[in-house]
Amino acid sequence: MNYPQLFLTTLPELIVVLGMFVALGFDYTKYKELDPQTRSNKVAALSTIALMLGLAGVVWQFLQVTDGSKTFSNSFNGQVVLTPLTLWFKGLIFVLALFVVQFAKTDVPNKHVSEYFGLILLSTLGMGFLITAQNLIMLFVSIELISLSLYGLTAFQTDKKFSVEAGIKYFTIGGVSSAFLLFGLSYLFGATNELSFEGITAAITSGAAPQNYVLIASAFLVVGLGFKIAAAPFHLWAPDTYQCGPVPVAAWVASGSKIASFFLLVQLFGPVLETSEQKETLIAGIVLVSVLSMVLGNIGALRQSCVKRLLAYSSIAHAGYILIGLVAANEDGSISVLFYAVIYSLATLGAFATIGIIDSRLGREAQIDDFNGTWKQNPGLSILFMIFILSLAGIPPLSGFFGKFYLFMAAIGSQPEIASWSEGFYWLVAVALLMSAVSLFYYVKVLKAFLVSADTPKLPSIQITKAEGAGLLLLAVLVVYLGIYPTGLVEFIAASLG
Amino acid sequence: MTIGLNEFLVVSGLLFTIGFVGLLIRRNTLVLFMCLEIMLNGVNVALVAFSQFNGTMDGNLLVFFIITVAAAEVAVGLAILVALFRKRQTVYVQELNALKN
Repeated sequence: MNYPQLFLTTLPELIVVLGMFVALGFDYTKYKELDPQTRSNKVAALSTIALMLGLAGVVWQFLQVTDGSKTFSNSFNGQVVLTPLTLWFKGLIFVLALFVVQFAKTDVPNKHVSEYFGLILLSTLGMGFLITAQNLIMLFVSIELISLSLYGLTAFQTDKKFSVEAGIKYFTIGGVSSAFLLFGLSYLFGATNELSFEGITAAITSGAAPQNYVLIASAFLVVGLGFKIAAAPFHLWAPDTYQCGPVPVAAWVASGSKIASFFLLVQLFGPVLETSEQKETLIAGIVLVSVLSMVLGNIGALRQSCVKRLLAYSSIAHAGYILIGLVAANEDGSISVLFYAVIYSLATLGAFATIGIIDSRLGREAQIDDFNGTWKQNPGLSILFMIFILSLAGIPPLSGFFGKFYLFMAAIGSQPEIASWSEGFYWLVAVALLMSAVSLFYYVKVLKAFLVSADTPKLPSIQITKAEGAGLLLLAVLVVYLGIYPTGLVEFIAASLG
Repeated sequence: MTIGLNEFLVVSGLLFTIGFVGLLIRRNTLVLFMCLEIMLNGVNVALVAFSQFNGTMDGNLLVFFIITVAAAEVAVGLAILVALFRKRQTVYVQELNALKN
C-alpha cells in the first residue's frame, strides 16, 4: 500500500473532515454560550472555509491529472479513481455544498447547529466518494454515507410537526432501496466474480458472466437506484421529504445526491447497456420507468398548491427525462445525461433556495397564492426565481432547453437505421415533449403569481443576506451561461468520457 | 443430495422476500427495522455463497462492510424513531398519516 499517495488522493476529503471536527469542537466549547444565530454564522463560516480548502485540493488534483503527471495513476483497485471527469464532478459537488451552507445558515432548524452543518459536510464527502468510486465496496459505503446523513438532516427540524415523520418515511424507504441495491450488487458479484467496475464490465461484455444472474442483478439495481433518483414508481418518499424537511436539505437532496446518483447510473449501466445480451430487456425496463416518472410526476405536480411539493413532483418528472438519455445507450446518451444532471441541479438548487428564503421570512410553508404580486416588492428575487423556473421548464435561451434537446437527440440518434417516425424512440420523445407541455402549465402558474398577479402583494419586502444574494446570483448566471454556451461543458464531458 | 450454490441462493432469496413482505404488511416501525435487517442478511448469505463457490474472498469482504453499515443504519433509524416517539407518542405506521396527499 502506497500511503503517501493514499494521503494525497483523499486530501480534499481529509481537509473537510478536519474542518468539520474543528467546527464541532468550537461549537461545543467556545461558542457554547452564544445565541443560535451567531453560532450558526460562525459554524457556517468554518464549514465554508473547510469546503473552500477542500475545493482547492480538488482543483490541485485536477491540474495534476490533466497535466498527465503520474501522481494519481494508482486508483487502489478502483476505490478512488481520479480522472478529469470525476474530479470536475467532485468539484461541482463541493461548489454546490458551498451554496447549500450559505442558504442553510440563516435558518437553522434547532439548537444543534454544528451537527446540522457537520451532516451536510459528511453527505458532501459521500457524494464526492460516490463519483470517484469504481468498486462495489466503495460504492456501497459512499451511498450509505450520503443516505444516513440525509435521513438525519430530513428529520432535523424537530420543532416542525412533520419533519421527523418525513425523516422516518425517508429512512424506511431508503433502507429498502439500499437492500435492493445490495441484492443487485451481490448477484453482480456472483455473475462476474469481480468487485471493480472494470472487471465487471469486462466479464459482462465478453459474455463470460451467466446471463440470468446479470438480468436479476440489473433488475434489482434499477429498482435500488430508481429509489435514489426518485423515479416513479419508486418516488413515494420524494414529495414528503422535500416538503417537510428543512428547505436547504431538500435543495441538497434534489441537487447533489441527484448528480452523484446519475453519475453512478451512467458509469454502472453505460457499458452494460451498450453491449450486453440483455440489452433489449434492460432498455424496455428503463423506458417503462422513464415514462411512468414523466407522466406521474407532471400529473402529480398539476394539483399541488404547496410550491415545495410542486418542485418535488417536477423533480420526479425530470428524473424521467434524464432516463431517456440512458435509454439511448451510447456515448451521446451518457454525455446528455451528465449535462442535464448538472444544469437541472443548478436550477433546482436555485429554485429551492428562493423558496427557502421566502419560507423562512414568512415563518411557514409558502403556497402559490402567497407569491401574488411579489414582483412589486422584490423585483430582484422574482427575476432570479423566473430564471430558475424557466430553465426547469426548458425555455430556449436557458440551459434547461439545451439539456432536453441533447437528451432527445441522443435517443433519436441512437437508432439511425429506422425507416419511419413510428419506429424507434420517436414515440418516447413525443411523450416527453407532451409532458413538457403539461409541465409548462404549472411552472407558468407559479410564475404568474410572482409576476403578473394584480392583487396587492401578500409578501412584505424581503431582506436577503449578502451570502444568499451572491449565491442565488451566481447560480442564475451559471444557468444562463450554460444556456448560451453549452458546447464548452458538453465537449469537456465528451472528451473525458471517451 | 449435495448442497450447491442454488440452494444457498434460494435461502437468500427467501430471506429477502420474507423481509420485504414483512415491510409491506407490518405496522410497527420497530418491526419494520427488523425486516430491513432480514433483507440485508439475505444479501449477506448470497454474497458469502457466491464467494465460497467462486473461490475468492472479495464477497466476504463486502459482507463485513454490510454488517458494519447496517449497524450504523439502525442507530440512525432508532434515533429518528426516538425523536418521532417524543413528538407523536406512537410507533405505528398507520398513525403517521399526516402527510397523505
